[in-house]
Amino acid sequence: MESFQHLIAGFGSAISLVNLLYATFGVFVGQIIGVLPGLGPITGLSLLVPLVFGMEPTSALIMLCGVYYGSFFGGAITSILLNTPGDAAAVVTTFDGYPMARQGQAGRALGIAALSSFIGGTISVLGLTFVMPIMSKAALLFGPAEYTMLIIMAFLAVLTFSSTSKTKAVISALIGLVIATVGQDQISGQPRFTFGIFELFNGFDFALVAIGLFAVGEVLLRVEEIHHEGEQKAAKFTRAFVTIEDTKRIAKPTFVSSVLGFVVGILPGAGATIAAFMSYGLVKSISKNKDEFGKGAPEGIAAPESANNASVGGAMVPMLALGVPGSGSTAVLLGAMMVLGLNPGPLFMTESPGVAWGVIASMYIGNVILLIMNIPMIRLFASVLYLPYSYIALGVLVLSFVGAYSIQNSMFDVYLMLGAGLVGYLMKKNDFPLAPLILTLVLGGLLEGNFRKSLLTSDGSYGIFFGSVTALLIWGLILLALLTPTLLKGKQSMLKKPGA
Amino acid sequence: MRRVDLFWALGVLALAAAYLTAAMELPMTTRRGAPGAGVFPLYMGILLAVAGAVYLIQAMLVRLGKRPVNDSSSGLPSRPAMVLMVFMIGYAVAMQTLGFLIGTFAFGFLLLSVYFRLTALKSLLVSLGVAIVIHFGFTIGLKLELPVGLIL
Repeated sequence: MESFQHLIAGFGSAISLVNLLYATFGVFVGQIIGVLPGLGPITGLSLLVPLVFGMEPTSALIMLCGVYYGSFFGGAITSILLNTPGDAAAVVTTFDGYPMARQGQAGRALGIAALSSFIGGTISVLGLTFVMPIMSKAALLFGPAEYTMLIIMAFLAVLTFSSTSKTKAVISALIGLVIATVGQDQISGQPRFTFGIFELFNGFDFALVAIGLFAVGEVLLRVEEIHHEGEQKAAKFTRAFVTIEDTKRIAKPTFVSSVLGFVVGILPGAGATIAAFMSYGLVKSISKNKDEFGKGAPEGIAAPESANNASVGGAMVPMLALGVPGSGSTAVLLGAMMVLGLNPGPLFMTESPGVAWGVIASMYIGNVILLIMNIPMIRLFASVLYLPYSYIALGVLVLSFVGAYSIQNSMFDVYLMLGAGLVGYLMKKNDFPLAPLILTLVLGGLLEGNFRKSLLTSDGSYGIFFGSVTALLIWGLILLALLTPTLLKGKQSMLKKPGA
Repeated sequence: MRRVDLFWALGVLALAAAYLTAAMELPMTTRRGAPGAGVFPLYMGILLAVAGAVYLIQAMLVRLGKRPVNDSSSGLPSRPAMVLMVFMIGYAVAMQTLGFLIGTFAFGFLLLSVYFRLTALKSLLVSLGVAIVIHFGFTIGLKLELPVGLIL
């Protein structure tokens, strides 16, 4: 009941003209970014974070959240029309979306994706509304030792769910932690690894690194691919529509996948990609039309799309309630919240209820905007696919330079961003996942602070990390996080070939 | 694993060694006996060294085996990417010396006409449009400062 009252107040803030405009802008930009091949929510958020400096926190977060869930739908457009997912979460949508588009029904596939995304997004915000306050209260029991364990759990979960080499994922995470230690020590003020360079005293700004790794690195990789393979041609676009028969067929799979997506989204490291794969498998296993999967089944589009959009609300739960993001995108969002002077974590709901509930309310509205926007404007978003990559590269690079410069009005930052871009390109080219790096970079300071505070309170005894029921419970969750991918592995390998 | 993994594994080990050396120069305890500024970096350096060693062993085992997987695709930087990197460094220098508007126009024109080989007219119009829209959008719309240049 208390949540409901706060939510009503949140709607009061979210429906102001300014915030509605920010939500619309965020959703619009998110979709454009999601449509651009290779660019996903992390890139979109990274490019926009420098712009939120000095903005009113509620409006800034509403815009960034719009970018976050808008880009998921944008990813579906490329999956359906180009058979190239905008990001990993949209891979499953290609299984049935592209075959449907090849049959001359691209508009129908896009319509199903839009409707199921809307339902998934709305169900997940409902879940967020009721689960987040409960988790915030539980998190008040956490001390520095429990927080240390929780952050380590988030890291391990991201590493174990990584689809590439685990060793490479660990190295990526450790490089993020190493970068996070550059700058003044937060407790003693001692400069570390600055080599006398004044600009490094405040450490590496996460937004700078994120822009370099994800935006510049991606452009470098993409021009290389185009040089070797040429540009891909998109399928012909047709008007978006959904038939009554489609609506009946996707109703149950969409609901089931939305609930599953929300729950998976809460788990650190699992996120949208796992949610999409799991929901596809689940819906296929319970469907009467199993033979149609992989050939353009409406359920095969609705399941992953509703699940990956529902995972957004789920992923926001630990980020807002515990201050611990479970993915690269939520790590960038968390960094943005810190930039805005907010304190995500157990006290966030009590310290900044206006911001928290305003953002949640805006997510309900944002999903409606997303749906409404897609009926008349889907042709516009799809038209981005027909732009030559040279124009896209120019736009992304110029925005990256502007974003890096505007963080501190410093050209030094621009050169650092270029260095991060080269590192990101080399890492991607060599299959090092980037999400662990950005996650550890954002959380590195928090991990070190809590780790040292724990040792300070225990007089240097490491027993403090086993000394409470909560800590032991987190140890149990760590074990679960380590074992779950092994259990899921067999299931996922079966799902990778939809026709099988 | 590919042959280039050996190279990257050695790179990670070199990074870990350099980082550990610098970390060991930091204080390990504070005056009150609490963990100092060097403790956390020390642990991170050790973990990075261990991960680098595991990576090296994995790469070496593959090299000793029958055939490395995907050995044909190099993990080293390619020419198109490095040429673009040079363009970007040039853009940063131009932005710093000539200012955002002229620097962006020059970068855009050269990138489109020389690197992507578009026609001069298309390159001119697109680069001019991008430079003007972003410059005024950011300075007037978002009230952000952009580099004004050193020599103009």
